[in-house]
Formats: sequence, structure tokens, C-alpha cells
Amino acid sequence: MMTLSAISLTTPLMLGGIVFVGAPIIAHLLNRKTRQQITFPSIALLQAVSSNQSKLFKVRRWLLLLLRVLAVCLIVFAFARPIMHDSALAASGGGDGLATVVIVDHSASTQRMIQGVPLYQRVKAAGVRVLRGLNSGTDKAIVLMAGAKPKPLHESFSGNLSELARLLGDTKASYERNNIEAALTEAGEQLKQVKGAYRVVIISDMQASQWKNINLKQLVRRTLPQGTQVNLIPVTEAPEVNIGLAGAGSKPVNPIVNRLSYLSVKVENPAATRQRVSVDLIIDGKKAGSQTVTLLPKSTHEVQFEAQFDTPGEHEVIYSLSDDNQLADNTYYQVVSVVDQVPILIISDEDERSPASELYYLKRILAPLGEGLDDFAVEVVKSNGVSGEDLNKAECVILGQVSEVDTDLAAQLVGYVNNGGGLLISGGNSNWQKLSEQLNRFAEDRTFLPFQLGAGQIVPDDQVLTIARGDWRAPLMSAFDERAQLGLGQIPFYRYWSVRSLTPGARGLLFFSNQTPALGIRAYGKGTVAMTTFGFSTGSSELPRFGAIVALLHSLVEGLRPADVAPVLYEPGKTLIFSLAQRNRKEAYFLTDQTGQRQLTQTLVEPDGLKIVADEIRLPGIYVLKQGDKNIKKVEVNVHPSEIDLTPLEAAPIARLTQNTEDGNDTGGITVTAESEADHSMKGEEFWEWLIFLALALLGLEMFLVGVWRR
Amino acid sequence: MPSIPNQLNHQYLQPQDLKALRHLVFSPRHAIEGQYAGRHSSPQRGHAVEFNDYRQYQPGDEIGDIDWKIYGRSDKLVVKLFQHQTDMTVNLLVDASASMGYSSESATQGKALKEIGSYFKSGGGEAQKNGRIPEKALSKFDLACQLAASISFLITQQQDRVGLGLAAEGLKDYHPPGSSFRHLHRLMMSLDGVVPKGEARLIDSLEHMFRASPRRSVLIVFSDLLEDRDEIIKSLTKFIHRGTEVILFHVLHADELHLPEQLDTAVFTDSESGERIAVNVNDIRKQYELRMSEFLRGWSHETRIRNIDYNLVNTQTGYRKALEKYLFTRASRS
Repeated sequence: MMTLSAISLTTPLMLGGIVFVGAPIIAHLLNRKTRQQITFPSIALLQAVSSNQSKLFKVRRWLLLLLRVLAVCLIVFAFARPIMHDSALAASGGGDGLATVVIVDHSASTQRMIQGVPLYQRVKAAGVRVLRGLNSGTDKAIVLMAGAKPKPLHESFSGNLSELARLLGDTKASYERNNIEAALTEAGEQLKQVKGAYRVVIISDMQASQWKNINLKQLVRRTLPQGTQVNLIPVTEAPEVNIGLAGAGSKPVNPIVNRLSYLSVKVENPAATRQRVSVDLIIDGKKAGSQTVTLLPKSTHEVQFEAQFDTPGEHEVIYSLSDDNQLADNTYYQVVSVVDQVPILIISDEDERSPASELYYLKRILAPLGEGLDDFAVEVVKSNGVSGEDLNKAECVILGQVSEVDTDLAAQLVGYVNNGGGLLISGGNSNWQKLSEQLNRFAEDRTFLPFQLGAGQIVPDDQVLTIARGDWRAPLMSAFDERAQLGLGQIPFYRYWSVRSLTPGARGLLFFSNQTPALGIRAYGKGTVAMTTFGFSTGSSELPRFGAIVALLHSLVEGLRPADVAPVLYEPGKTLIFSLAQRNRKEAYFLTDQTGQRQLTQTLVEPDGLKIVADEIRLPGIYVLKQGDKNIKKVEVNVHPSEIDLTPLEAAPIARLTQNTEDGNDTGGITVTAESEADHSMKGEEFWEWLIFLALALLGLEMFLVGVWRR
Repeated sequence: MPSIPNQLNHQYLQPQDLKALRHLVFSPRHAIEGQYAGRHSSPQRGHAVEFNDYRQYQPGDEIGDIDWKIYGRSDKLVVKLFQHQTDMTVNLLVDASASMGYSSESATQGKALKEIGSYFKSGGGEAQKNGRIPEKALSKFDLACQLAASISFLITQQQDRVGLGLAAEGLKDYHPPGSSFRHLHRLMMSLDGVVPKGEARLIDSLEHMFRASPRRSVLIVFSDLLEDRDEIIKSLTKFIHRGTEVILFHVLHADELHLPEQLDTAVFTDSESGERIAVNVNDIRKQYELRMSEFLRGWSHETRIRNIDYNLVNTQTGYRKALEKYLFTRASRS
């Protein structure tokens, strides 16, 4: 292919036909010669009458010649099948050739097998064809692998197109999710480094889950230099049935040693047909369960396994599906952190030995057995003795009855919640006004608690106040089934705090029969604050006498446990970051994959500790941060669930990607090229038909003029 | 009338074509001076058969001229005056410039004019066998020569004297007037094989002719008159003033009058100057014809006011018709 800045010629050999331009010229000259030569007696009279006509005649002849030559040129040009890249390309092109960025989508979805061959082979082939379609010698290219972090195959633009094609041929489909925006941004940066006409070719399997929300026009305008021609080459295939694993969880989040826990995995069926699959569970390398499930069309089913861990620490859990056309999403990795006990801190100034006190009940409900046999390791501190370390250790803090909350404690508690901690505040305190003032002082918006409390209320003897309704679907209320709800509704309450108003963003979880909120929560910072308008002592209600208090407190404490509730989801290609408090640095930290192979990491010293950063995580699996022989932290890396649905965008949405959605578009335009014409992807818009049309118009005009002038 | 000699068959002279004109006499419209007694009236009064007038006898008059019968009746001495009858001297001047060589054939085929001129020598064909020039090949020079030859023949036949000269870069091949058929033969021979070329320089030719011709004679000019009109008129006026009758045959080709038909665009080359001009004939035809009419009107006017006999002939008419028309018209005006 020959490229003339903004115009490429598909069949430049046809330009040889330009010799036919000689035909009208020769005809013109012959016509001049063969034009009737008349030796006239005297041309004086002729000169007198045709002084202007002779000039006009000459002009006419030249005009006719021009029209004929133009027509022939246009026809010859049309036969060379020219392709207009863009008018702007011509302006920017100069003599520097075409700078092409080939963005290759090698996301996990391209791993799918089509008749035994990965789809990625076709993606690569299209990319290689694009490179071969470039004009060797003048054009230059760079190949960007559009994974999670788009990266060029070669440091900079190269004119060695065959080498680029070879490098591209050696690549494999990744387990990553593509990031078109980042790829285009990178392409824009690369293009700014070179001169010439700019072109970006995007080769993608057009996975709908990735592309449906992309506004390509806007992206192109925002990320690429002005005048860049964008060429989209969809490598699509009719969607195959593909079942994938889309996520995993455990209940409780951090199971307790030797306690029954539930591990679950989400199985997604994007197909329009019912599917039956087998899901295997492997814990620490040993098969721990298997289930065969039937999946409804276009549904996600959660498969749950019972599991019991006999040792604390991080356990490696792997879920796997039977093989299908897409292997990348058939395995899901999970690191389950098993604990001996959940550390709970109760701040209370009461005497825990006093049987009627709130602390007495709280401690016995959360840790009835003592001696480390309970799920919760409860520690009690006085309000004036709370240290930062106490708070850091605790996964949940319960603020019981305290004489006062000084400013230090208030600041500590607000900071604790802000950093992701869970705080349960009992309504048993008698000095709420002061307490809430203190806490609100340190809050960003001067409101920390879910409620603004009014006056304390005592229920008259002739009335019964009970829990009338609750938001039972809330995670914190998950322990209450229907019977438990009924049970809770039977318990009479004697004392409670009226509520002046709910803090914006807060919501009530339990309500008394007089519609006063009994329990409310609000998110603050990264953590959660829960608060009751009643106390947990027998002075407030009959609650401590009923088993419902156990379910309520356990449920609240579990629900308020921080962080692991929404663990960071790592996916291949993304940066893995381990933040560590300053530790012994005598031995270096390193990261290994499941096979023990070390991964490339960077250790950054931060003011509050160390940060271990791993950029080159390309495969899904479980990675272990180690120091010496000691495992410090395990994380799981999984293929992103969006890679499961392999359905490509249909033609119409693809076409829409190229349409102008806004005025003032200053890009060079977006075109869609068929995969089979990837080597012609440099074409842009073919316009040979217009050339033929123009040539015919010129010939028509020529004939018209000849006819008129001869009349 | 004497019989026509057979050897007078020339390129431009076909005596059999002139049989119809034998009864016509080419006579001068004015009195002329001749050397010999002839059939034409002369300004010289003398002894001749044609009575002219009486006048009072004056001493010195011949006694023999006195009309005694008048004297007997009126007792007055009057002298009889007779119109002097003399022979006629006619000088022919044929324009042999390149422009006169124009014919339809030469124009459209771009042939050299000399080829046309030597048509009868080089070619065969039906036309030659008939002794006639085909219409397409008929040039203005041919028509002029045909007219000149015919007039010469008529003049010779009526025993008057005819001379001939060619206007080609001045007067060329001038044959002083003679009245024999041998002289006519020589004249015809001098016309044969002439290739019109160059400029006529008609003024010079007329000047030369002016000096060579007698005072009261007839001058017939055959030309396309493409030279300066005023100068030509000036030269001709000199002849008029000297008492010479001037007859002007304005010889034009039909193409000159209307521009060639069936012609779209063409390059016209001036036959004398070689200048070229490319024109679309159809576009300028009307304007050209207007200009041509103006041109002809100018000549007609200028000659008429100077008592010059102006005759427009064109190749389409043919020399016989043209001559016949001229002679009849002339006879009617005499």
C-alpha cells in the first residue's frame, strides 16, 4: 500500500494508467494539427471580427483539455482505489509518514476458544495485518497491549514493522481486563512524541460488558491529539456458552477456628439457556467439596459450602468449574482469614461484677465461657484508660455506661470509626447530652451519632413498650429470622431516649411500638457507628433476661467488624499493594505466587510504615507476601467478573461508537473496518466511487460545453 | 465573324463556351483614341462615315469639309463634323497574388497553391478531359484568368487590340496590346502555368500600366482588391482623369463572401502574410458577412462616384454567366 499522507492507494500499480492522460493531450495536439487549416486570401476581416473570439476559442480548447485530462486522472486515481484518511491528516502529515498506534485487546475474554483456536490468534492476526498494511520506510508504529495497564511492546515508535509484527505474534492473551481509556491515553502520549499523520487502530473482541458504557468519541477527543484518525477493528464471534466464577465470600468474614463457617462462590451464567455445572471446592490444596448446580438463563447463582478451619491464619480456597470454552474464569481464588477470637473492646466505668450492670450482661453475652474459649475476646477498659493500642487491636468497640467522655476519648473514638472501625454506643448512659456534644465536636460535620437525642423517657406502668418493627434485611439484623423477630417483639422496655432527629445519612434498624427509633446506624468515614436508645441492663428493659439479646449483640458486633467486610478485589494487571506497619526490616519482604516463584516488587518507605508494591502481577492466583520463611499476608488475584460474559457488541452499537454525539468534534473521525480488511485498515474512507462520479460529471460537462459551443 | 482557331483552346480560354457571346461586342463606353480606323468612336473628329455635327466655317478649315448643300439653302458656310472611328486598346491587369490562388480545395486540403495552379498539368480526371476546372478547384485567379481570356478573345475577335499584364509583386509579364490571334495565343500562354504567389502590389502594377497604356483606352482590372482601397482608387482615378475607361472586376471566392460551410473550428492562414488565426466559424459567420458586405459596399461606392465600372464576380457564378451578365449590362448602358 502506498500512502500519500492523508490518502493511501490500495493498488498503486494502477497509477501506471496515468499514461492515458497522454491520450487527451495527444488528441488535443492532433486536433490542433488536424484542425482544418485553411489558407485564406486574407484574414484581415476575420481578425476584425474575431479579435476576442480567438482568445475565447483558445480558452475553450484549454478548458476542454483540462476537463478531459482531469477526467482521465480521476479515473486512473479511482482504479488505484484511494483511501482518504482524513482531511486533517493531510495537514498534520507532512512528510513524516503515518504514525500508527495499534491497540491490541488481549483481555481475558480473548482467551475463549473458537473451534479449538483462541480468539486471540485472530486478534493478533488482525494486528499483524495492520502492521503489514503500513508503508515500510515512511510509516512507523507502536503496539499497545490494552490490558489493565496498557503497555507498549516496544519502547517507542518503530519503523521496523516486521519486527513489531513478530513481537505481536509472540504475545498471548492475558487474564486482565482491558482498559480502553488508559490505552487511548497512552496512545495519545505516544503520538505526541512523534511527528506525522496520526492513526490509532483498536483491535478488540468488542466484549459488550467492556464496551457498552464507553463513549469512544469523547474518549478519543479527550485523549488523542487533534486530527488523529481512529480505526476500530472488531474481531467478534457469536457468543459461546461460558460459565464463570464471579466472586466468593465467607460467613462469617473471618471464620473462627473450629467453628462452622460458610464459604460461597458466585457462578454466573450469561447464556440464554439453562446450564448445569459442577463446582469444586479446594481448601489449602485439598478438595473440600463439590456441588452440581443448575443455573437459570442469564443468572448468577451462589453456591455455598460448609467449612470448618482447624487452624487460625490465612487459608487458601480455590473454587473451580468444569472446563468450557473460556478457561480463564473457571477458577476463583479466595484467601480466608481464620481467627481464634474476635477482639472486642468495651469501654465502661461500671463494675462488671455487679449483676445488674450493663457491663455484666455485655461481657457474659459476648464471652460467656472465658479462658479463650469464646468467639469474642472481650477486653474492658475504663473511660479514662483507653489507649490507642486498645482501639487498634479491637475489631469492634462498645461504649457502655461511662461517667464521662473526655475530649481525648471522644477524639480517639471518632478517629477509630473514621479509619474503618465499628462502634456500638449503648443508650444506657444517663449523661447523653454531654456525651454526644463531646463526640460531635470532633466530627467533620459536627454530627457523629445517628440520632440527636431528646429527653429520657420512662414508660408508664400501665403501658408496654416493645420493638414493633425492624429493618430485618439490613446486614446487622441478619441474625434475626422470623421467630427471633417475634421473640424480640415480646420484650418490654421501661426506659428509652426520645429522638429529636435522625442525622442525615443515618437510618433506624429497630423501632419501638411508639415509632421511636430503638437502634440506628450511620456510616462515618470508613467505619460505622451504631447506637441504641435503650440500655442493655435490666434497669432499661427485660432484654437481658431473654436470649434475643445474645442474637442482637452478636449480630451487631459481627456487623460492625471493619475492613474485611469489603475486601480489596485484586485482578491481574492491577497493582498489588501491601501496607505494613513498620516491622523488622532485617529481612526483606518478597512476594511469591502459589508455586513459590518470586514476583517483582518495590518496597516503599512511608511515614506510617512500609508499602510493598507489585506491578507485574499478570496471572490470577494467590500471592503470598513473605519475610524470610514467614508468611506475612496472602491476597487473592482473580479474573474480573466482567470477563465472563463474552457477548460482543452488536453491529449497531459498534456503529454508534463511531457516530458524532456532540458538536465540534475535532478528531479525525472513527471508522470501523472488517477484520478481514485489517491490512486495509489504513484506508479510512474509500472514495473511488466519488472519483468515478466526478470523472463522469467532468466528461458530461465537457460534452455539454462542446455541444453548446458548436451550436 | 471569323471562325475560331482550334489552337486557341487554353486552360482559361474555351472558345466554344463563348459562342453564345459572339454577337456581343465589347465596346468602350467612352470615346477612345486609336491608331487605326475602327469601329469605335474617337474623340478625334475626322473623315469617317459617322456624322457628328455642324459648325461655322472658320478660316483654315478644309474646303472639302464645307457642306455645300447647306450653303446652297442658307448661304452659310458650315463645316460637317464626323465622329472619328478608331480601334480600341484594352489593357488587362490580372491580380496574380497568393490570395487570388484561393479555392475551396486548396483551402480545405491545405495544398500548396502552386499545386492548384498546376492542376491541369499534374492531374487527370474527368474535369480535365472536359477542359473545365472543377468548381472546388476553381480559384479566384482561375476565374480572373477565365474572364480576362474571354474578354481578350472578344476584343481580338472584333479586331481591337488587347494587352495583358499580371500584378505579382508589381507588373509582370506585360504584353503590350495586339490584335492578332497569335497575340491572343501568346497572352493565353502567358496565363497558363502562372502560380499566384506573393503580394500583388496592385498600386505599382497600375502605375506601371499607367505609363505603358495610351491615353484614351480601356483598363480592366481583375483583382480581389485586398490591398489598400484608397491607394488603389487613387491609382485608378489617374486613369480616369486621363480618359481611360476603368473596369474593375472584383473577384472573390464564395468562401470569402460567406466563409466555408460545414466548418466548425479552423485555423485560417493569411495566404500572403502567413498570419494565423483560429476561429470557430459558426460563431463569427454573421459578423463576418456583415463586415464583408460593408467592405463590398465601400468598393462599390468609391468606384461609382469615380465612374469606375465595378463588377463583383465570385467563383460560384462561373465566368460565363458573369461575363454574359456584364456584357449585357454594359450593352444596355451604352
